[in-house]
Amino acid sequence: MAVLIAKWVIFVITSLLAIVSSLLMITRRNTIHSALFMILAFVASAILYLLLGCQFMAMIQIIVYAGAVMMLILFVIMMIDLSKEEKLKMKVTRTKIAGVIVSVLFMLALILVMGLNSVKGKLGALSSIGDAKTIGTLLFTKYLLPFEVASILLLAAMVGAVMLSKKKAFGGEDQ
Amino acid sequence: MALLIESVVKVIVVFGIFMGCVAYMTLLERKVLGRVQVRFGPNRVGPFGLWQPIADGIKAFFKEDLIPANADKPIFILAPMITVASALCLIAVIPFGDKITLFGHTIYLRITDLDVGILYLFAFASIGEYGVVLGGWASGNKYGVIGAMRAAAQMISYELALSLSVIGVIMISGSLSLSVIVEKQAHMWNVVYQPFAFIFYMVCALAEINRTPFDMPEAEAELACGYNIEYSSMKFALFFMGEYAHLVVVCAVATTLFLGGWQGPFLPGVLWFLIKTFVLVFFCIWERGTFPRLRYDQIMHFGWKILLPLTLANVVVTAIVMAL
Repeated sequence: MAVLIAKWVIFVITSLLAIVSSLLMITRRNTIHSALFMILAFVASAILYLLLGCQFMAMIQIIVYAGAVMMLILFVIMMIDLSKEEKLKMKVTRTKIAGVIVSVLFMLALILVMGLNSVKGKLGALSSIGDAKTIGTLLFTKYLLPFEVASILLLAAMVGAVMLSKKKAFGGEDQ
Repeated sequence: MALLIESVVKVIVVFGIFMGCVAYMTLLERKVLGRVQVRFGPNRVGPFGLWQPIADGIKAFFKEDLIPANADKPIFILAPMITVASALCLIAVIPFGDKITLFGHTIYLRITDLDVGILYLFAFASIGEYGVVLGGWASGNKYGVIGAMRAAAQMISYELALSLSVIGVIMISGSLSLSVIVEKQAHMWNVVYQPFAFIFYMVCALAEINRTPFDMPEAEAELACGYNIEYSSMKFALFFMGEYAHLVVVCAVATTLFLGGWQGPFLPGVLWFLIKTFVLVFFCIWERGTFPRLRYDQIMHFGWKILLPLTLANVVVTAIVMAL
């Protein structure tokens, strides 16, 4: 009983943290501050994974998103000069209106999907999916083809990124 | 209830010993570096300068705490805390001894044993990197920003090779749990099966904790201390502590993964663990006194074009040998 209450308290705190930091992330003017709140949101969702018993997912969430991806984003933000954008006043443009409409529609879709398909009741067999061994076994047996296709896609994206960032056209003299 | 008390006592003891080690690591480094450079090192405070860390702590505490006018104040204050806190979190999963029986109560000598211990280490190590990067950026100083940029680039580059160098050990042990990895080394240390991975690990780890010859983010000669240029007083002391705490953790992890952790004959396990870690820490101090700093482009070249392919090859060779 005490464990359940403790889990509930942790759940409430971390989900509030995730929501508040996501809100702060989209409202901050300073891009570095936004990025930091995004890291906080990722860490909070990692704790939610832990509460579900998915240790592997939680750690991967922190390593990949809070660690690697956000470090790259911070690196890029520090490289480029955003002082002009930060001084811009709120201006309603066509892209912003379109963005608002699309995100409201997306939120509605999410609410509908979650509302219709939400799983109620106790933690079932799904809870073992967060286990490193289970995920590894599934990836190399049942989902081998999608796994390989995804990795080829990532490789192609990587090669593409290298090509795009090269200064001279392919075949020319590179450094 | 007994479990809770046990955990609290373990956390307090490990925290105390760890911070004590970190404090005296600063003295050890100054002493050894002094000897390497044919001088004495600190020897004024107490016998052999043994009270130097305490004196340093008091000095740092009473110094004026400066925050530059154009600094980003919250991040400026947060950054050193991130560095220290992540290093302290890392020590939580490292098994430093076998189980002992005390008052008819079996106690495992580790704070916690996660199934995904290695991933936990990488997760908190990657969080800890933000301390250096944000600290440099928030100072509002161009040297600080350059130091932060270098830190970010260097850490991204060497993190890949670091994780790849550990994968061989995971394959041999068949587990991500650090205590299982230590138990699997009862007969033979992993360093015998994975000698190159051990070397790669130590090199990448030195780069991850920004130590010579990879101390680009704080290269004194060109950046005037880089990321911590604007830090003074206790905040600087926190960065300093974080640096040494990371050094101890990196060596403790190397001991756990490659040198058999607490396994060893005759002496108790905890002692073996401390001895092995100390040898590695001593190596890190020694090489600091020996190697010159590399140039930034050399570091990037070495990380991406030499270290990464070598660690990948190590993983492939390990897989082939295991399959045969």
